[in-house]
Amino acid sequence: MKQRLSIFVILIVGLFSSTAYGAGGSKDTLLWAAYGDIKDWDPSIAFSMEVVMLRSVYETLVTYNPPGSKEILSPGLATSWSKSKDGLTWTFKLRKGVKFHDGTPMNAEAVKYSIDRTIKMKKGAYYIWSAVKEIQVVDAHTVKFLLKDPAPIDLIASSQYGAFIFSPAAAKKGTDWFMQGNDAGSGPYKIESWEKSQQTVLTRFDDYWKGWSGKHFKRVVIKVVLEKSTQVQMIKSGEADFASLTPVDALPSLRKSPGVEVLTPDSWMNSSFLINTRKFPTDNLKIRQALAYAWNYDAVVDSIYNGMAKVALGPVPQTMWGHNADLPKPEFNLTKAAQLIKESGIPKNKLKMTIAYIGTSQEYENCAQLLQANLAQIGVELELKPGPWGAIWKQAKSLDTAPNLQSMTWWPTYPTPNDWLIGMFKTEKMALFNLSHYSNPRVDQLLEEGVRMEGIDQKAASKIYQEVQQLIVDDAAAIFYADILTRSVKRTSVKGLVINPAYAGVDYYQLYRE
Amino acid sequence: MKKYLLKRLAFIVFVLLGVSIITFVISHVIPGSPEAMWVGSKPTQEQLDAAIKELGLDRPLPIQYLNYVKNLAMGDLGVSLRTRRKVSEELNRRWAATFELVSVSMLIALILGLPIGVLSATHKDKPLDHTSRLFSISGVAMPVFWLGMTLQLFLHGGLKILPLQGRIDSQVLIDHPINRITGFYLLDSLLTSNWPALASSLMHMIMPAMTMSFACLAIVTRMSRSSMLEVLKEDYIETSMAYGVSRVSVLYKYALKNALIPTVTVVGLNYGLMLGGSFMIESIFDWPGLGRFAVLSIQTNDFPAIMGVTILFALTYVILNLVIDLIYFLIDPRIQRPGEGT
Repeated sequence: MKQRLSIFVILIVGLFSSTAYGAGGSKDTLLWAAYGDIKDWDPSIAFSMEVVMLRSVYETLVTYNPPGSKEILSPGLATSWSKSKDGLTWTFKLRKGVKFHDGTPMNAEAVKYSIDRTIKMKKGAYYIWSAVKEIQVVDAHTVKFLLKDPAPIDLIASSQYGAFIFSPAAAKKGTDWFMQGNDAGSGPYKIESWEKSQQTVLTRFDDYWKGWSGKHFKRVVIKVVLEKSTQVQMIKSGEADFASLTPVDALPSLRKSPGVEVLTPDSWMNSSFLINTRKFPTDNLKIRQALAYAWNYDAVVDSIYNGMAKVALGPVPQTMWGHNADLPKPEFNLTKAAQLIKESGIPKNKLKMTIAYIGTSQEYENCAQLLQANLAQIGVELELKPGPWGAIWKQAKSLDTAPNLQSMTWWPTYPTPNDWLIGMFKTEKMALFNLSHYSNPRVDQLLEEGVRMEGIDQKAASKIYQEVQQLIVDDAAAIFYADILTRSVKRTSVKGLVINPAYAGVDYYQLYRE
Repeated sequence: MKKYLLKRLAFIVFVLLGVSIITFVISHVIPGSPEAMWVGSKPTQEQLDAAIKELGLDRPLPIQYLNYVKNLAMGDLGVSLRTRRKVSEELNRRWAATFELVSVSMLIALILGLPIGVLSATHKDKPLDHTSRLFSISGVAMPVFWLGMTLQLFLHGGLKILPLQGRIDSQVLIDHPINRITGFYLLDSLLTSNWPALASSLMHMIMPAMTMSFACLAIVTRMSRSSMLEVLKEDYIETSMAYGVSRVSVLYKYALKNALIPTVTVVGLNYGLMLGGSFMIESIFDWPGLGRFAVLSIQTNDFPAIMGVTILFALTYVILNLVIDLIYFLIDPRIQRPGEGT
């Protein structure tokens, strides 16, 4: 009898708890449906989607402002900063009264320790600090960066990768300690629990320096939901407040769902097909230019990306500082393409090319097929070579196995246009990401000058980078076709969202429920 | 018997070696750059070179394999390239989730399948038999991903009575954490009298277990029906009936026991199939088990993880086979125990 009673009780409890499904999150808890689990918990290493969440756990010296702001940067853990005229010495004044989650104070020693540790570990995005010669503790709340070459340490310090400041006392416990789901940050939320591949729970840090007087969530639950259709259902039913990486084809129905808001802001991610400048027949400039004319820009953005991208203008996204807005708008014109091919002097029977792309990407696949069809009309044969990234990357790096066209999606490590320009277009002895195998001494020289100027005079650097963009487009080193829009799907009851392309995640501290 | 067991255990070692060689070779010869995954999205050349050394990828393939086996013998399955955690730790966290799901599904299939099979046999060619046949055929024919998603649509989207995904409710896990004893949520929460956790994990179990058990249920039903029909034709059944033994007693005590042998074989094989089915079902329901882990590992060619899952599944499969062979002896004394008599 007792047994029967307990089964009955369980069933009743079960039914009651089941009524909660689809009823929405609680007032103080934000439920975030994430498409992957945390890979690296160590703030010196984190270089993947975990920064979405770590951004509310750790802080940086400086923060990058969303586009449209008056200033590019605002104070973070540093209240003010200055640089010497030669751009070789940077001094940061630190905020007083900031505590890490373990109770130790944030001070100059901690800043030095954090960045030194990241540099020494040589993992993740440590290379953003490559210009740093030495970090000096001036006093408890002043820290000085001495550089080998001029560099924009303020921008670098705002990076979402490799620039977190953390408690030395906690970090000395090592990477393994972090990997158990521990943190050592100063951010508004600390890690309460982590259930591997299920969920991470963040809870508010009572001693947070900005305080808790306003409207904020007490707790953030980041739930791993890998299946995209499940994410869509969760956001529709209100089980989740936020969904990341919602499939594009679900957006129309989500837009119509009551209580759901779909935002599609600009990102700093862009896609291109890099054209091999040293492999026949794309080593011929006319052929490369012809390829750029054979690309149907509007159709790709409208039909293949379903409007979730804008036609790109050169290698640098349009919302990044230093972008060259004077570049000619790319044009789809098969007649011009055919004309250029004629001018190249290459006989038609030799016009065979290959295009490599990540096979699991429907967008790449469709783009490649569209280009193939367009080129066929002007007598060029294009062979499709889809594959996993690791494989196609390895092949693209070596000239012998490289394709003529290579898919590439890029985003910056820290907010600078040189990330695209150096990463993909500066001469490399052994190709790493310069998969166009592009080499232009003028571009190299300008880039070196640009990087130096970035640390001294950002406006001057901007001009130099704009010239570089013009040169790369003139050389037709790639088909630049899409500045990607992010998709942020949330419940309308969640307010306070400010989207910033400099950071993959959302600052949970800004959010609240109405 | 002892000799037989030793022989079988030695056989297991050979099977595992074979499986490990095949998986190792396949996962290492397909083109790719594991070092790229190890270091992350935008590495420097220096980081890539360091990773190749760290992972031992600069050594010849046979040496890499020997190193792997050497480590395996000491219980070290290596480190996952994707999650950067020990594969043994990853498997340890997940195996209970998968085995709980598979076991509950199997239980459902048996509890429902056996009686339905028996009833179909006793009501041969009557409406009950036809209905059960319809269910069986649809069970085998329906793809699990379709069934799973349809259930989600109806029971969560429409009726809102069951949770959509996961193993337990987020809030419940925060407020009533489960003390790990066996790793099976249902069992652990029951043992620790954690009623909210039990209720929540039970509700979360229903849809994936239904989806998973459906195909197996069909097979169990068909199998027990046909072997039951065979047995019912035997003389001793008629004799028992003639002696006035009650019908229920004849059916469940004598006939079913004899009809069980082929069913047990099928159940054993199906346990293995269900492990395979977990790949899809765990992906649909975001079940944090081995299947989902395997899918993610395969997609990213995370070879230490793929090796780990394959070896664990192979081990489970061969052990299951052994257990089933042993169960035969228990059910049917007529089967001669190896090593006894001639």
